[in-house]
Amino acid sequence: MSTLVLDNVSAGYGKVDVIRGVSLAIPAGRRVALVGSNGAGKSTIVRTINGLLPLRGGSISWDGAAMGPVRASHRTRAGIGTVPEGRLLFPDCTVSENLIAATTFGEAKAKREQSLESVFGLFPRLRERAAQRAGTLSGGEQQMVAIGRALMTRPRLLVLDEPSIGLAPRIVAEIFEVLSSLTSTGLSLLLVEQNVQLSLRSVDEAYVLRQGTIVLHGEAAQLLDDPQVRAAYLGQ
Amino acid sequence: MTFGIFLQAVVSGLANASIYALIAVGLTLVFGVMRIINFAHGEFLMIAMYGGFFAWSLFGVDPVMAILIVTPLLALLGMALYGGIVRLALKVPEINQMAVTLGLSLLLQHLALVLFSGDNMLVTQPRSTAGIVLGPVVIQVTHLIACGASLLLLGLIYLILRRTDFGLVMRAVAQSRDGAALSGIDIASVYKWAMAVGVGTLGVTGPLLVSILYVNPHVGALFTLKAFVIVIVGGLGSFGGVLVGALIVGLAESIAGAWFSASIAAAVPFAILILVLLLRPEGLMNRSLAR
Repeated sequence: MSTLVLDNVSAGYGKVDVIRGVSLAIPAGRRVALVGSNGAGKSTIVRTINGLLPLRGGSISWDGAAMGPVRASHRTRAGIGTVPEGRLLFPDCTVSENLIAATTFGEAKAKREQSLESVFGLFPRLRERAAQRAGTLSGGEQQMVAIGRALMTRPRLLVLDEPSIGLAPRIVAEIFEVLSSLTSTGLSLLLVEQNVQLSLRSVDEAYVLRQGTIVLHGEAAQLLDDPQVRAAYLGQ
Repeated sequence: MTFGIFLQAVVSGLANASIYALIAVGLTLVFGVMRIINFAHGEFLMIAMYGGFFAWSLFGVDPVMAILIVTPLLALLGMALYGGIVRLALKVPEINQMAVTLGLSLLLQHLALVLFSGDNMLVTQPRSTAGIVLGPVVIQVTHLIACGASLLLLGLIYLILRRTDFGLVMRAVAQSRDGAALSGIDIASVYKWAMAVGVGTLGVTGPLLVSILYVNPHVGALFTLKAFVIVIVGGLGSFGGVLVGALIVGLAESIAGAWFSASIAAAVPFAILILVLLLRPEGLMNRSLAR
């Protein structure tokens, strides 16, 4: 089974270690949230998982095997799909091109048409905009392209970095509805969010990150009732 | 200037523009994908010109046929340039990258001087002096061949960029490197191929150009500069910009040459560059490789 395990991971930029000794596990088929305030190191964890940032300490294993200092493209090909912060779309390419660009290898290439149909099925709006340049889309539509592009790589784990940021509540609801429909197919999910309430309501379990270290871990429902969490993140 | 001379200048300008465009498209492809400016671009053109010349002078190979030998060689040189030098240079600050390719350009010039001497060399064939007369205008056959081949290859490159996975991954990397990596695209491999195509296209231009223009070890510098002007005028990293830039530079140069003198004509591209940088510093058609 495809389980992602981070063991005692440290990483950072320049002289600063942004995250220190982070350990977490995402079992196959589970929906896991990583919550924390701005600057807690959430995106740094995402970037160590998807291979854009090298590890400084600890290890990451996937499917039971340790992942070496491999390139981001290899992590994607190994089944870890990322919806990155800032989306990182190809703005001058059309919506279809953005999606197809994520299917130039292995199984993703063989199942290109099938994946394209299923992404258009999840986000009918993208089918209408298929020939439009991604850079001209609204923020919500761009987020749909980013999610669609990650799905085109046929991931077994989908990592989403702040998918709700800057979007209208209606669009966020739409996107989260799609995400919950995805997990019924056995896809594991790592949801990284600043919106703690929203993310805890959409997952099975969660980790709370503060100043680069994990300070709490538990079932999402439990954390929602936790007085500490309510005070620190839910303003209650 | 009579209308006939003007027309002749326009026709020559168009022919030059197509050749310039093919030279510049390699430069802009490499910049667009890798964000590195290859100051040795013209030196690779010089090598391709020598390749065409020696294929003809030593083995009697027609320059048009020499393309088939010189192009793969140049593409391999491009890959070697990436693997041996540029791959390492990507890790250092941009100013050092420029110094690296500039140093390479000087190194290649002087190596050529040692190997081939400083003599001017030209392929001269029966068709070298042949021309086709169309009313008041004469088109040199060698120009016509170079122009036709350039347009053909430009069209081919455009189709590859727009219609194939190979082109799509290049455009993707040009627009977002991290986004491409997260899409499972192997960045190092795309860089290697961008360099192979960017330098390889010169393998078509070189043999055809040496039928028109003398080759010597320093001929490349002029073309690097002109290609530079074209890509900056058009907008760095833009395919359409290369066409527009080449058209403007080729026509302006040729018409200025007919109107005033050859020395004025030589200054015209740079005057255009200064004007564009003052009025529209992002270039005339600033869009990434998609357009």
